[in-house]
Amino acid sequence: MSTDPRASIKTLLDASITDANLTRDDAATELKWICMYGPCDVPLDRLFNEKGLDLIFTIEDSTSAITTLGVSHIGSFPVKAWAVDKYSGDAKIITAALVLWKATKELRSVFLANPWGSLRSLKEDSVEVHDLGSTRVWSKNHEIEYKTYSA
Amino acid sequence: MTELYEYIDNSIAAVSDFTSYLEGIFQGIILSQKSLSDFDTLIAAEAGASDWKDVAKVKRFCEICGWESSTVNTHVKSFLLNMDMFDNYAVPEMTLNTFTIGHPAMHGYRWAKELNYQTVKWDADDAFTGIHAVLVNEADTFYRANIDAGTGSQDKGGRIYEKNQTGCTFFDLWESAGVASAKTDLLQCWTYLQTHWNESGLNPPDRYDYAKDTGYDGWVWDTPEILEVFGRMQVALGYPVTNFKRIYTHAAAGYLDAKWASRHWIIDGGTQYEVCVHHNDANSERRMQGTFQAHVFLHQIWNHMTDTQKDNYRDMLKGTTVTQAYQTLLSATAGLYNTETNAFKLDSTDGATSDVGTASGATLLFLLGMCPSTTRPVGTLAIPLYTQMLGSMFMVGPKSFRWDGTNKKIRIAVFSGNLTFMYGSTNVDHYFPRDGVYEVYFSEDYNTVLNAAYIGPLPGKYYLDLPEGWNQTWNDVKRTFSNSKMLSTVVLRRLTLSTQTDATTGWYDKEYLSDVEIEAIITPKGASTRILGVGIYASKSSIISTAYTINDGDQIIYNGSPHEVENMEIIPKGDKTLCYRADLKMLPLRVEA
Repeated sequence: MSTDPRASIKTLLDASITDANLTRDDAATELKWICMYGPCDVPLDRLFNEKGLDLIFTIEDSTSAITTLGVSHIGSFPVKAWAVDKYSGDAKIITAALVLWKATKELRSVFLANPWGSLRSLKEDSVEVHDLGSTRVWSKNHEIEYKTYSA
Repeated sequence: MTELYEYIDNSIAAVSDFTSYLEGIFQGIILSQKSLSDFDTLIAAEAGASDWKDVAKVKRFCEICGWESSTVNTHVKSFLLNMDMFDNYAVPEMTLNTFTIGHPAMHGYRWAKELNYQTVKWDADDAFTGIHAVLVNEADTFYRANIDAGTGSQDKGGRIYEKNQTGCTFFDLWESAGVASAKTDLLQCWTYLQTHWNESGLNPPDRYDYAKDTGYDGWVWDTPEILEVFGRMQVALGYPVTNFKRIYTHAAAGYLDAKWASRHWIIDGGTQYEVCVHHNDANSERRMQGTFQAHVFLHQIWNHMTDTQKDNYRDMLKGTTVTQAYQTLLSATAGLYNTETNAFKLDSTDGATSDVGTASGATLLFLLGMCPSTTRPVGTLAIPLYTQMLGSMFMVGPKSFRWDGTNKKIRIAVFSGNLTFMYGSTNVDHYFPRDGVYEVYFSEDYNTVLNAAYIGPLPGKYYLDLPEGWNQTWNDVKRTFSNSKMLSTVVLRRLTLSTQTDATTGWYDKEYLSDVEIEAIITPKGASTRILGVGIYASKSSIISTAYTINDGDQIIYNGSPHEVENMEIIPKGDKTLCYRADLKMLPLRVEA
């Protein structure tokens, strides 16, 4: 049975992300993060509220195309980062937009430090805000593209 | 050393007859010695003896325990047919020319409607007219009345008991029989009760006095029934009544401030009995019923105690620096327990122990083995407000509480949080994540909780602390939908996420809790509703509005189809939560292989 292509990205992120680079607004307290396949099968607000997560990476299903221009295969994986604002009393301790920026920097570092497979590029989309009833979730998509040359 | 669980089991074993009397079956079910169907035999026996008042009593306790049968219905019909009534009013005549207060027969008006039988004879409005006339004529409550003559009687110038149980009578006419005007008379009983407040002129005042006649001030054993009647009234009214906090003031001075030296447990200047005395300071009889009611009362008002009062009651239950509560019941000073036979008396003045005393004692020992924990969030026992007749111990009922010594299992009703269990040699805490009824399984020595399974929502209608899903504004909102098909009972399956994630996907393992029935307003697609002026129009399958906590990802079974909760919003009213509102998305049909 072939491996789900998301598995290798998840393994890479789990192993390579440096916890100390993902911190709260105080730049000291490490965020609680997780990496999982996307789309997540439970509402994300449950994970932020009940599991105490501060940052979620979801590796979405891949897309690919076959090309004849000297390259056999072009594929891309969206990796989305999700975060919410969090408070301690009246004080905001986690700003979702800042968390997403730290997440993007960390993804860049990981992919630069861990060249994998063939040629790869990282494209970033702008931040989106999703209203989920009583919770507002912020997300940013990162498209990891790779090219596999013909044998 | 004998542990508490052994005392309980020993006392259960000391009961020779759980069968031939109402309390025996009721407590026999709690103590896993009898089954609900035993009510059939008892009600048939009472009907066979033409004891129609007791048939009514058995029927009422069938209702409390959740037992219905054709046998019960047959005998209730006989009661409705044969019960003597006053000549001029549709009021049960308990003995010749006498009506007694607080009797379960007052539910006969509702039973007649439910069974569509003898409804002319059981005319609740006519009954209210007769009983109301006595209240007006006496300008006070009463313990018995000749309804035809319009006269009632007071004892000792009028006792707390008469305020309570006359109130209970009007409560039953209001809430059970559906006579709206009875609410006013119930409130009048509360007003009459206030004449007992500080009758003895204390400064500051700290109690409701026993009775109005000289020599009958002081602390009387059945005071907790004030809460059972008028606390229930307040819950049913949905708003706080004037002077209600006096009940808490009385509780503090009477039961808590000096721990076992507080006024209900002693004779002033005399003995500290540590169980409830009949009347401080004129009657030192110790009463099982008063002690039972006191501990139920203290659990019921837990959330209204100060931190110091909570610490005091915890110390009393756990035996920290004072005698442990269950030990007080067993002590020679209390004079209720026979250490040779493990049997109890109901009253210290009884000549001998009795089965009803022993069954009551075992049930109280069971209750005294539980305590709100010191670990936050603190849980409490959820005991509904209830009384029926003087000295009622029926607020602890088998829907909510059971002891199964054979299987080391108990059933308890809780408001969520941590509770401490003290049945073994070591106290053990357990966390209950939500309000409801649980079955708790213990190890052989009761020192470990093996498991606690949620088995359903709280069964009572009247709790001093309201269970999840209740608030007055929501009740008002609901009423506006009461004739609409939009007000539905639906099934809620709450989603929980395990602590483990799947090694491959990173997803949390999902689990759905047991089904819970909740009331909700369902606005289907294409319809619109207005709740407190806010318009709602469904963009998905439908919208749910409910006072019960729901969360994204939970499932709602509505019209037989599972729906997923999405986009939950909390709808506030002022600084409180009115309800939870969410989209419902119908889930695709499950495909069976």
